[in-house]
Formats: sequence, C-alpha cells, structure tokens
Amino acid sequence: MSQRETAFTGRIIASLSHEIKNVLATIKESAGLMDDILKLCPERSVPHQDRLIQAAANIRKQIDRGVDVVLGLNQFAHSMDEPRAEIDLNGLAERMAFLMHRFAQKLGIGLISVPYSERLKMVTDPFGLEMLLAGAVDACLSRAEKGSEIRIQPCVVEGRPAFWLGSGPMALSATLLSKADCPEDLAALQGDLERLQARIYDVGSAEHRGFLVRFS
Amino acid sequence: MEKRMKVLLVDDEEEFVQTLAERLEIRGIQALVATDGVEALHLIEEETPPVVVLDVMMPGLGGLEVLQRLKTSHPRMQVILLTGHGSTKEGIQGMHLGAFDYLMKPVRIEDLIKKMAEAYEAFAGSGTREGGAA
Repeated sequence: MSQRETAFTGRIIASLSHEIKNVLATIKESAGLMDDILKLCPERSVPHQDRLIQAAANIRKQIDRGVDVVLGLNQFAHSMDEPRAEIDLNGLAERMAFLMHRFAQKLGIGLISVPYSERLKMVTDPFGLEMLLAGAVDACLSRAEKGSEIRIQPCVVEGRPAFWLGSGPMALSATLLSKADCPEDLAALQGDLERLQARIYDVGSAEHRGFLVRFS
Repeated sequence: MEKRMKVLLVDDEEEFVQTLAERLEIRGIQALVATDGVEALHLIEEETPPVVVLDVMMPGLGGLEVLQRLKTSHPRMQVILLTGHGSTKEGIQGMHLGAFDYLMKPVRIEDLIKKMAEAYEAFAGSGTREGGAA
C-alpha cells in the first residue's frame, strides 16, 4: 500500500473504532444504571433481583473485554497515521502481544511481552515495524511446540534497539540470516527489514529458540 | 447540611451523558448536562459549575475549543477531559491548555468520581469561589 492508502485505511479504522467505543460506553453506563437501581431496591423486592444484578455484571465484564479489543484496534489504526514517528518499544511489545494473542492461542502457544528495564524509544515507520514484528512472531509460532511460550522483548544490542522474539530468555549470540539462507517465511520479511534498516538473526540453541531483530 | 458537588457533563452522545448524569445523581452529585459546546458555554455562564467533564470529540464546537474559551472566562474552573481515542494526543494537548486531567472513555464511574473530587478540591483551594455547590 502507498502511504496515502495506509493513512486512509488507518483513518477509517480509527474513526469506526471510536464510534464503537462510544456505543460500548453508552451500554456500559446503561448496565451500570440497571445495577445501581437494582441495588437501591430492598432485597428480594424485585423478582429475580440477584439474576438481574448478575446479568448486569456480565454485560459490564464483556464490555470491558470489548473496550480492550477496540482500544487495540484503535491503536493499530493510529500506527498508520504517520510514515515516521517516535515509538515506545515496551508499549509496542505489549501491543504486539495483544494483537497476535489469538493466533498464538489457536496453536496452543502462549505469547507474552517482557519489557526492557528502561524506556526504549526509536524513530521509524510504526506500521512497517508492526508488520515486521508480526511476521517474526508468525515465524516463531510456526516453529514453537504446543504448550510453549513466546516472548516479545525489546532490548539493546551493541547500543542499538532490538527485539528478541522466542522462547526462554533473550539470546546473547546469534547467526545473521542472509537473504540466501533465509527460510521462505522469513524471506518474505526481507523487504520490511531493508525498509526499516534491520537485520534478523536466528537463534537455535536448546535454551534459546527464536529470532533477534536488530536495527542499525 | 453538606453541600452537593456540582458538575457539568458535556458530551454529544445524549444517551451516554444522560445515563451517566443519572448514576452520579444516585451518588449524591448534582450533574448538569450539555450535548454540544455552545450549550455547554451557556450553562457554564448560568450555573458556574466548579468542575466540567468534557468530551474531546464533539461535532461543531469541539472539546478543546470549549476548554480554551472556558479557561479564558473562568480560569479557576476545573476541566476533566474524556478522550475516546487510543491515542493520548488530545488529552496531552488538553493538559497544555489547562485541563485538570484526562480519562479514557469508557471510564469506571468510581474513577470518574475520584477524579471529580480531586478537581473539586483543586477548585476550592484556588481562591475566591466562582460558583459551586447547590
């Protein structure tokens, strides 16, 4: 997609998710009001009072879930706003774990974000970076065993920002995957890697299985 | 007798704002309602509420514009912004324009009341009363 197309897509998704959020906010307040009124009534004065209170609580719980989903969608849409922006890498790792959670869940694999000990920032293409990390997460998932857990962890390697995506703690040494020896799924990421001035490293030891994405 | 806290809720989502007002009334808070920026500015002049809860995204006169005008005419009045966006840009912009704080919509009513109480204290502690409790 061109930048214009990306920005348009993001604008429409952001606008629609904003509307959905307004709908959820109104339902949430209405369920809250039902709950308030039921609790104001003397105990057992309303038929099925407890069941109605429970139903209102269920509505609120599902709305909170819906709000998280819409927030994820909205933040994703805003990543398309600008071709370059300053990105908080800990926040991005958390968002990527949320966005990719269902894909991992379907395979029976856990997906978590592990923040770096300090705030890490990078100026780059936010949408491109999300796409690259999603591709790297997919590659991890296709190699991971059912029941395992994949980490998305921002880090610093030789003074530059990087992401560790794999099982176990972050790897300390790794092999650069050149275009020639890249497996098919990772070869598809080469365009993104070049655009973002990044390189991907394969880590295949028994303790550390995954990929290191380094930015120059 | 203890005075009731008076707040003005401004949001173009009428069902949302009316329901929220009703829930606040149940909790002993006098909640006035405006569904657009112009109506909000009228009510601010008539009622001088110490605390205003203002939606950022409104058609016509937007929340940030209402905030700017309100802060010029009633600098002590405290404004809590409700932002519906995943981005916190508008909230931060509002803080630069003098908002007391901002909350993401939908907000838990307990969190909103806590923030309103803090804003009310900030108003009360900021000098001569402009308006206030009913």
